[in-house]
Amino acid sequence: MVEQDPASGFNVTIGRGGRRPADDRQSWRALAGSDRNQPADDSLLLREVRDGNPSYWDEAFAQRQWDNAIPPSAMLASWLLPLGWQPHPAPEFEPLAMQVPLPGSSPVDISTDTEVFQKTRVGNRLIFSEQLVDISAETTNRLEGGHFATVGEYRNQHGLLLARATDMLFRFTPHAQLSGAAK
Amino acid sequence: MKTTPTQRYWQDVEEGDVLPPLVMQTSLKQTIEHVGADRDFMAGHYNPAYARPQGQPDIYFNALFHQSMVDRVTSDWAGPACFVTRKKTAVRGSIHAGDHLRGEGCVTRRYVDEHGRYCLDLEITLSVAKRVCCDASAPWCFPSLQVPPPFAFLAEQAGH
Repeated sequence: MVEQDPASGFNVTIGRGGRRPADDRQSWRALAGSDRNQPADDSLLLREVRDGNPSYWDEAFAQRQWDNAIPPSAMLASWLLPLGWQPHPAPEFEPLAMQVPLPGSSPVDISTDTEVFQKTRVGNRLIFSEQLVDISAETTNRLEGGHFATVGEYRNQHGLLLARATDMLFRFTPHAQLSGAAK
Repeated sequence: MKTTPTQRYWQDVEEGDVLPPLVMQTSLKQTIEHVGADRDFMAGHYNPAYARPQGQPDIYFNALFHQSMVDRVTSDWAGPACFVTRKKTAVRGSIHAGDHLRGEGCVTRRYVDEHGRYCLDLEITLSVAKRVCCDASAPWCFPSLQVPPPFAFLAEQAGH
């Protein structure tokens, strides 16, 4: 079993962004570490699935129903993903399953089991830790690769467990790479 | 003017109830936008030249899209005052740019859980041209006519 060092794990603080004049809803802002600012507006994610749930769009409704604004559950995983570029170099999250020195450069998400214990709220500082719990034997059928099972836990700044995600990822090497073609 | 969608209560639902199908015509633009929205820059989600050697006919949505669509299929029917306590999603196939997506679901169990919460187990399927792309099962907590909102989550602690 491999456990990611919590000290070098990934921290995200959920803050409150500015209001949008068009729809009067708030945006979400994630801060990684103390000096990184990762805007992660949930309205973009919601737009792509056309989800008009007022829990996410209507601050007054969310306050009345949930006692605070809440993000859609998919934001938890999204906040972990690297920006791709930032002005000041900083460590970026890489899933444990991709760090294992085994063949397979291409990841495919197979399944996710997410248990939600608490709503994530504005002002929470999220602390993510991850364990690699299983690696399958290499498959030799249509795609050569292997399955990697991980369990990730999201806690807030008080150590309260917000959610636990058990993920199965399949890693394989695309045929073009196997044959030496350019990616 | 803001409108609040219809809220379904636990007492309104029976085991075996079928959720109305949700259909969505996806687009190339939407696929690319989703990459920026959730920052999943794995090349198969935006570069056809990377996707095809993976055995894919075109770029495809990521697992977070599947999960978000499962949420939408449920909450469009249930109303916004519900929350999921556990969601198992399995990707059975890819959803590609331009696919006509269909989401369906049904209620498999209606019960009060050990914490006194009013729950429904739902099974949701996302498919394209009758090809299943994702199936999910999830217990959702519903408001009860006998319990006013807001809900209390498990181990809810003041100040957290």
